[in-house]
Amino acid sequence: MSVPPLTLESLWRCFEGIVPSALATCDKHGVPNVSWISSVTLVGDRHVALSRQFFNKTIKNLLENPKALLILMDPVTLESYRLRLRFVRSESEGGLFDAMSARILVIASHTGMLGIFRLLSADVFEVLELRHLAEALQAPGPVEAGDVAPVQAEFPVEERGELWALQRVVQCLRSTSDLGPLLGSVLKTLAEDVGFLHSMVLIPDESGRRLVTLESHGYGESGVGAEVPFGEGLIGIVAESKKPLRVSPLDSALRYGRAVRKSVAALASAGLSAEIPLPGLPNAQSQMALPLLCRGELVGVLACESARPHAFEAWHEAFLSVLTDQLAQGLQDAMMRDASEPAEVPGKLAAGAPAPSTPPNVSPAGPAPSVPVLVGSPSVIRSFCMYKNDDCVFVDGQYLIRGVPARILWRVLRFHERDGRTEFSNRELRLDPSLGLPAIRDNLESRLCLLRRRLELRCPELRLAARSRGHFGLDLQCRVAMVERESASV
Amino acid sequence: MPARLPEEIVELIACGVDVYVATRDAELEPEALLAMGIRASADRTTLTVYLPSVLADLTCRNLAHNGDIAVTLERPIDLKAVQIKGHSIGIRPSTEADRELQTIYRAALVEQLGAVGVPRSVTRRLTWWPSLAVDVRIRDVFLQTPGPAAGAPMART
Repeated sequence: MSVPPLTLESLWRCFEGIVPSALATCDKHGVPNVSWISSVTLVGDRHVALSRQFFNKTIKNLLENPKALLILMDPVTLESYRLRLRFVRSESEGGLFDAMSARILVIASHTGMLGIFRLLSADVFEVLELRHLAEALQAPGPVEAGDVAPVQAEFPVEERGELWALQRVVQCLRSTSDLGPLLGSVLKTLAEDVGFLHSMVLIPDESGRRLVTLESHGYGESGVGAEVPFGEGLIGIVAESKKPLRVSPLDSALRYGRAVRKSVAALASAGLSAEIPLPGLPNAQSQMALPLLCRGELVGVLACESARPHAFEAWHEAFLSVLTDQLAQGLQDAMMRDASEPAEVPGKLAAGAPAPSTPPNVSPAGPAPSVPVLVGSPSVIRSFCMYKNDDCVFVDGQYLIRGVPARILWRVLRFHERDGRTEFSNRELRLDPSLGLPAIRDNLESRLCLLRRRLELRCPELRLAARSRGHFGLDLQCRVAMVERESASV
Repeated sequence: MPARLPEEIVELIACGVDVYVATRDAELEPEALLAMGIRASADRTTLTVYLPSVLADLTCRNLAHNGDIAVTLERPIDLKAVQIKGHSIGIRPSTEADRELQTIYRAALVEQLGAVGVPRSVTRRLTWWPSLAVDVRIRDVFLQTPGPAAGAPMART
């Protein structure tokens, strides 16, 4: 059987990093230098790029003498590869620079060094020779008890059912127009068919500077509603840059960031922020996030995590890029369907009804609601509190939701309290200025979806059930007590 | 007067560090090799690095030609690193005493890499014996921990 030729692409794991690479250079006087390189990126089929965060001896040498020698190590097997290089150029802008810079930003963000620790340039080298140092490893010995288990590829090639999974996702997108079930089924498919056990979809909130988790899989209760500011951490940076990003293994990246942070702190104490915790899995070792884009506009972010150090490969990113195109379109379609709802509004209130805190100018009389006003045990009472300055609602002392979804809930409960109303329309919400929905692309359906999911988790006795297109009903199986306060601190 | 290794670097060496050496040929073509052991002399003015014989041909040829050598050490757990520049003053096959020393070094490296997730059984596969011992006279020591201070001199001839 012939051995396949050694190609740079076949060394993909070496470009993920855990064991840093070593780069040897030599100045014009013949003094050699060897540096640790945190990140090596494959560029095409015969170039690599090294990230440079500081001006150093290496670049000084390369400007004098472009010859270099790179030793790459496979982080799983420690197989070594010797690459003879020629320095070609430094790039400080463009696609390659942006992609490499985003990875550095993630580390900087998590270690509180945004604005301090950044990519100066992507230094590009031509690979003149590639050789496997087969003699660098001996035959494998026995694995002792208590040893770290050798990492295996997460998904063997022969078991990958990418087309099958893609087909299932497309089926999910076609089979339902409701945002909640649609996202739920897509994430479930990702877990069952692709093996991504922990995933979430986040959407921008009304501020456009923060993402909120609309649906999650594999995080238990804590997932839905979790927030990530734009530009912060892997997910926030993906939202801001609109580019997919993978970081693996996180331990290694954070160790590198902390080493730099310690060095920066020793030189100047100012400017460092607190290290921020990673979202999601407490023991995440691999993270991958992809933007959901519709005609270039961000409609959300799909994020996946794994406790395994090398869970996500370039292949997964490519596969998910196809999938996220479908998902973004599905998300957009669901919102467009909702926005083009019929103008006729069934129920008691006409479009444009004011919020219940002001006297209503419409008659409470009208057709009786088709759903009972109060069902279930009247002995159960849930206490809702709106903190006006913080724009959020708590239920029985626990945070429920904030922003537009919080205002929607409060409006619905106020109308119910005042008139006994249980039927509502998206249109009347859109026409209510007190909710603060943007005039264009209000993402109302996604706000309602988030509100429903948070209620399912925190107050299952209160449901906002979808009725017909553009309409929903308030189903209560409890009594509701409502109180408004200025601020949580009052 | 040769440069002397700071005491803290002698301690760093003892805890199991990754060691790479770099050399160059007559055409200023650099070469790099993973060393499998290092020790400092009692007066801290020289180092001995241990190179797996099977991989050391080019490196030894370069050292025989010009003797210029750079040695970099990095502790995997916190990436504390230094680079030592110097001149080779001798290459010889390692002795049984050297082998003892390499065994201790290797055990420390296995633990260090184990702490950052590399299975011990994998690290133990790194070729280390038979080896060549390269004695190096130290000329300069530079800090190389990632960060803005990387490259700062720690000791100089």
